[in-house]
Amino acid sequence: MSGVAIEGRLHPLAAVLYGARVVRNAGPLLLAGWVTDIPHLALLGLAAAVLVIGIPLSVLAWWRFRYRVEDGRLFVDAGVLVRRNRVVPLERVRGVSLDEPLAHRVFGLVRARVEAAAAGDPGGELSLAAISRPQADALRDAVLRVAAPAADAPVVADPPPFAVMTPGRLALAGATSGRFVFVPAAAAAGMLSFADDLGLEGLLRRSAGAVADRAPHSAGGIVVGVLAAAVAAVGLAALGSVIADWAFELRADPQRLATVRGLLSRRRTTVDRRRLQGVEVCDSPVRRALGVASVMAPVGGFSVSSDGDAAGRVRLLPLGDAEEVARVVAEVAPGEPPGLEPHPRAGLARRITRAVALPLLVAPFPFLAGQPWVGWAAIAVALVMLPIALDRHRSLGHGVGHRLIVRSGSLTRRRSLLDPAAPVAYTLSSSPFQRRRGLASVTVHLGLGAGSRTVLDLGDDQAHALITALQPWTREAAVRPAAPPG
Amino acid sequence: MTATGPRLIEPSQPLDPRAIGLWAGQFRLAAALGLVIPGTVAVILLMSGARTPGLVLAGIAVVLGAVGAVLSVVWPPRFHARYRWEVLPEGVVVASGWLWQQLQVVPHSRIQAVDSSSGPWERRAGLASVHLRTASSEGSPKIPGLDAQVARDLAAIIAERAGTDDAT
Repeated sequence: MSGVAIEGRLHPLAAVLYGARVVRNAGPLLLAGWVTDIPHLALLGLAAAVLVIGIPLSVLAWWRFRYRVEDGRLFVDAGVLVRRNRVVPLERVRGVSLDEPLAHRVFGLVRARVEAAAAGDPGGELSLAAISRPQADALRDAVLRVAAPAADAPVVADPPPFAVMTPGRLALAGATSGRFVFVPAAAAAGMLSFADDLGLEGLLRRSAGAVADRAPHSAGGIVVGVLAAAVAAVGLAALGSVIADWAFELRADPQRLATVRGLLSRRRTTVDRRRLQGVEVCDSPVRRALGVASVMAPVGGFSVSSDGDAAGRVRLLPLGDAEEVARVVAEVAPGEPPGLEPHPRAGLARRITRAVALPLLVAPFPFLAGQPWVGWAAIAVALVMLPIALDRHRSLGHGVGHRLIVRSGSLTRRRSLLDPAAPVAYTLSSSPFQRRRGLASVTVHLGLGAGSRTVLDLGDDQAHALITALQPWTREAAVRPAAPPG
Repeated sequence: MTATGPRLIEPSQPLDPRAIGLWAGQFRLAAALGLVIPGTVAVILLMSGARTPGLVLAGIAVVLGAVGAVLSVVWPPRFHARYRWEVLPEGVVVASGWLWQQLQVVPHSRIQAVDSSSGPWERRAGLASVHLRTASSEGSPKIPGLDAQVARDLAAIIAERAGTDDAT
């Protein structure tokens, strides 16, 4: 297929971005040198050398970088010292993502990433540091139009939004994400290492001591303090979600899905529909109580890992009520999903063992060591884990029809509706403990970085029935017919 | 569902019996190293008068050597007995694992590449391994301990059936 030829180079301001990268890398080193006893004149000379070499190199890097789409292939030529020429067949392109970091937005530029299939190759993703908005749209259309065979159909540049998120909904998404559990820990760790870097540890310790002196000592005061900290953490998580997903929109046209989001940097992710391997609804106990859930889609060969989109997965809806979730799910996987077949009760004991064994094994030691409250804490953890284990067992289920449906998890429960043709391989596995209870697990491997999904603790017969339903040629009878009756 | 439900095929082809000797040899080597390396250090410690650490290390050496020796007898024949493979018209089925058992199923259309390899140990025993690569590294079964000629033929057959699709 020839035709659709576009070619171009990065926006001239890309040279400035390259230059900024040099400054960002060299700047801290020079600053660090300034406070040591290296002569300042030497450092100024070094800074001048960085500028004298760095500026022409940045311009040269911009000059050398060219891309073109021709004959069904994307060509990229780049490199100053090491010249690289990359050719990507457009059939291997999984999607194009366009982001607008803050600096880019000021100049109306876009950073484009072309997601190409190359299992396990980090260079499988191809990045164009800065191009203009119209260039980016032209590149995306040229790359994805060839990927989609219906090239004659007019591609709607921007289909109307299919789902949008209000700030209030986003705040709820953040507050119920469970992320707030990690926010204070991450903030504390970050602050500690920062203080360590600057030699401020003593100061930090003194101020911590001052805080401790002023900390409330009465039970009521402690409860108020803990509650205030919890509210602050949930608030931070809500704020983070509002900033990262500001004005989230999902757009759908017949060939692709696109999401746009972000307050400071706008991120736009476009995925070819045929690369979606299914759709997943994720929720948590809190979200279940509120009747809301989020929707993701596993995608092969998609390495976008900017916040929110884990590698191999694209978020289609940060949070929605049952009706919105059903609408997004139906957009990717139309039709009534197959019913969920529950897993045998024999698996419950395994869930309970996994949940409580560790805390109960650890519990006796603190009692022996004269720290009984640590021991009681371990027992309390075991008691808290018990209902979670029950819920984890209750949520297990699977079904096969025109989709493969798999559900598991409690604190983050995931219901996956997969295209039965998506998996590249299947594994039936059983540990000695599972075999003793007549159980087995089935893992479907999606490939190209989309990971795998495990159907946990099925009955042995269910496991065999599941794989033989998905791949009928693996049935024993189909290969070696049983002796004819009579 | 009753016991008459559909069952997966049990693959029929065993590995080469020479693989048992190969694995046993590898275990014996590991056991010997586990015994000799901490053992030597333990002797040096004991001679230099560090009694307690020397004895502890000597104990570790004995345990490592004993576990390795037992495993070299127990593990290889069982692992060999369970490891089976079969190439069917539509795909490949591989059964493996003694305690943690696995049955891996890969349609031909999803195999992207077939690697056959033989390390120095395998070459000396006239054996080779075949690795069926799909787009998922976890879902890429390995068939070790094959006769070198069998491995070559197997790789050729599978590669031919895998076809030219992009296999994702």
